Amino acid sequence: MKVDAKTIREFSNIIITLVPEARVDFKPEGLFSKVMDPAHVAMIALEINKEAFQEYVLDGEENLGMDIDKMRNVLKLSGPNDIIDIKFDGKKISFKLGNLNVSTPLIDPSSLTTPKIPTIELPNKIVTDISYLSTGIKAAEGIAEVVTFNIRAEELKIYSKGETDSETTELTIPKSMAKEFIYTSDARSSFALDYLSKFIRSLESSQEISISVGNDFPLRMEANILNGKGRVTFLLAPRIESI
Amino acid sequence: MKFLELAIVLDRIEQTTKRLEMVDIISEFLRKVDDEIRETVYLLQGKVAPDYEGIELGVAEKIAIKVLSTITGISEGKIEGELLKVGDLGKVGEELLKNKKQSSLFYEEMTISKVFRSFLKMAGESGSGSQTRKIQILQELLQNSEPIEARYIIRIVLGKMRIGVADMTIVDAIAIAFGRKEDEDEVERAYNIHPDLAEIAFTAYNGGIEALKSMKVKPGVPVRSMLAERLPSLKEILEKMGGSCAFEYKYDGLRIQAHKDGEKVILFSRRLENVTSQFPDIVREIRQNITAENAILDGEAVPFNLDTGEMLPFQEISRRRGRKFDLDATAERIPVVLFLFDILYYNNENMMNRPYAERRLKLLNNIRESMKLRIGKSKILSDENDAEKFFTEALEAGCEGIVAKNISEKSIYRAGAREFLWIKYKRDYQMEMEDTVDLVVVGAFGGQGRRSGGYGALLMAVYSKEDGLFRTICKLGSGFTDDQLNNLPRMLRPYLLKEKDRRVDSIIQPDYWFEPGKVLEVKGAEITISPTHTCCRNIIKEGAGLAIRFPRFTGRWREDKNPEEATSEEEIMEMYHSQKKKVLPDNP
Repeated sequence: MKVDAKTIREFSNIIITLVPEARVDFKPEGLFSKVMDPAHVAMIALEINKEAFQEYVLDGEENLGMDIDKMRNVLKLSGPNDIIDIKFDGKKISFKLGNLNVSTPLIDPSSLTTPKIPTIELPNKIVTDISYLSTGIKAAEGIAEVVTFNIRAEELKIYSKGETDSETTELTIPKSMAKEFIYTSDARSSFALDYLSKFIRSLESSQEISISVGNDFPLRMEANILNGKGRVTFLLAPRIESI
Repeated sequence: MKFLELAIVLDRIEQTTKRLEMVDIISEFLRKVDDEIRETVYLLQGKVAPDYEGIELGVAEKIAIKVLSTITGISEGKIEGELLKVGDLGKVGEELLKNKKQSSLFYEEMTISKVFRSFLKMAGESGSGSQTRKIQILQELLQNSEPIEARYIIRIVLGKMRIGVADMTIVDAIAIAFGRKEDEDEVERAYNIHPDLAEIAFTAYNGGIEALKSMKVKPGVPVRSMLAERLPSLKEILEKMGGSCAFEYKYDGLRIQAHKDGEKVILFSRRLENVTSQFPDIVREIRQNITAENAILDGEAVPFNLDTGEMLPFQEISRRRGRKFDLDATAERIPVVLFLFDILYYNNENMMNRPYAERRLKLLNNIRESMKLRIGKSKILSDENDAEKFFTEALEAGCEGIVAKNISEKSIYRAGAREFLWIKYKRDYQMEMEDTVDLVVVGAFGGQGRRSGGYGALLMAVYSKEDGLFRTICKLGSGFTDDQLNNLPRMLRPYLLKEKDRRVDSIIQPDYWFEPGKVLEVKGAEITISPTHTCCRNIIKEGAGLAIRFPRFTGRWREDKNPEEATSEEEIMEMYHSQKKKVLPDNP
């Protein structure tokens, strides 16, 4: 199959935020991967439709254990618009890049755990421009390890507190600025910033993001990637304390 | 079974200091665990394999702190601070999990075998990226842990179990769990020849105590070493032994149990650790000189100066311990000779139940001695004076004493036992020689190995002002640089004689005699009684003189001194009396 380098780069950037190795299922309609960090704090489900590929030829269905770290080393050799020709057999995966051919061994997929994504009902959901969210997160990174999401009837507030009371950040996304704003009840949850920032930074091609928040409950974010030819879901367990 | 149940049992054991109570708790639990018994017994001991397999989890405290920080959301610095206060990362982790700040998406219940498998996986990780994978496994374990489980998981990965269960406590618990209290001896017998408690528990669980009887000695699995009792005098020893016994040199080195199984050679220490990698030279020697298909041999590895044929102080050998690199180079610099004194197994035949004489004969008839593989010195004696002489010879040779061995039919190899079949006799103190002495060269011995063609060692003497004689006090072969060694024949040529100088009083017959002339500065470990040297002969003890133990050339030629100005016999006598007494620890 053939795909441009930036597509596969975004895929690997997202996965690597949680794990260095992942099971990837190649199905007729596209590729799918679900990963969870070893501490079971966060989960990512990622799909890329076959339309994102220049060429997508598959004989049945393949479950591959991929070393994402090694794959990224190959990607470093390519420009964003280079076309990579990917082939795999039972033991290895090969990347052809112009005249360059690189193979890396595959990992036994059964040795990699694929989490079941729990169905979580969340009362509130807001769809907004990803750049708003990312500004709020970046601001918090400078002073804190934890960030709190607080939704009320008219707005979503994302705030953090530093070591002293006078050191704070607060981003407000009013209902008016949201593409979609579903509110059922006031809710507040806090999360480890580290997970959030890594995830949001990995989304290079997304414009909008949907954020679902409960009260001391996991956070769910969903975004289209690759011009709608892919989709990512992110779940993050809350911190128990709140600020 | 849930790991949580084991954690609760571990906690109960930790709460008590009474051995019998521990035995009860453990035996009751062993009956309940069913087919997870192997895993349970290893985890009770805080390990994943018997010690002799040398499998370690290899997790540093720093790594465990990092993992705890990730899953609890508390900074590493804060955890380190807590550790300083509490002193046990297991307890710290337990408290942290109680107050955990980061929740997780889901929990998985952990069974004893799942936890055990995770530990095994950690132990099996090596090479690049292994640290990351170990961290992941530990994270997963702690993520799913109840606080009390975390306490023990952390302690096990750090190798600090701290619950104080001795092996014998588990031995007793196995007896009670699968037999009766009276079966302790049977379990212990199995443990002595196969020191893997998990395997023993598993065998007893499957086939009862009866099944333990079929456990056999196996090359590759260490047997617990037989130990010697101690008596304060040779007279008492001879009485205890029925008037006559074999006396063997008690070499001062590292006890080694050598196993040969086909091409494979494994060396175990007295504590049954696998020390094979520390002695590549001995492994080679055994492979070359033991022709049997398989064998288990007992001996002592002693640092040795191959050039002079002298034993070196035991401390030299410890330089090898814990070394990973350059062992071959170290082996060259600090050669080791393995002195064998017993044979437990030979060509598929268990020799342990054969009497001493038969084993000794088997050893003598089947082991081809080489430069680095020798059979320990032994003599059958019935006279106290002869034994005393043998003892002083042993000391002078660099041994720490002698071991008497019963020569009756009942004198079998009793694994793990410390009984009167073997009795050691050592000095309970050692003198410390504080000053250097200036000694005169009166003879030399031809060198071997690297020193062949030149001199391997010099015969050194002190001067007796009263009699005008030079009396021998030691052989000196240590402390010379290669250059100094090469130069010795040239330097000493002017003094070379065809026969002994009339002023030299010596029992020892060196290869070359010299006219007393050259004076060297020498440092020794102590001045001891010697049956072979003439210095102060018959003064402290009839038939014995004084010698310097472990002499070493300081590098200083006393050109400023003529031989009559060397250290005098009278000074040596004074030094002997004023030596500092250092009490030796009774290391068994």
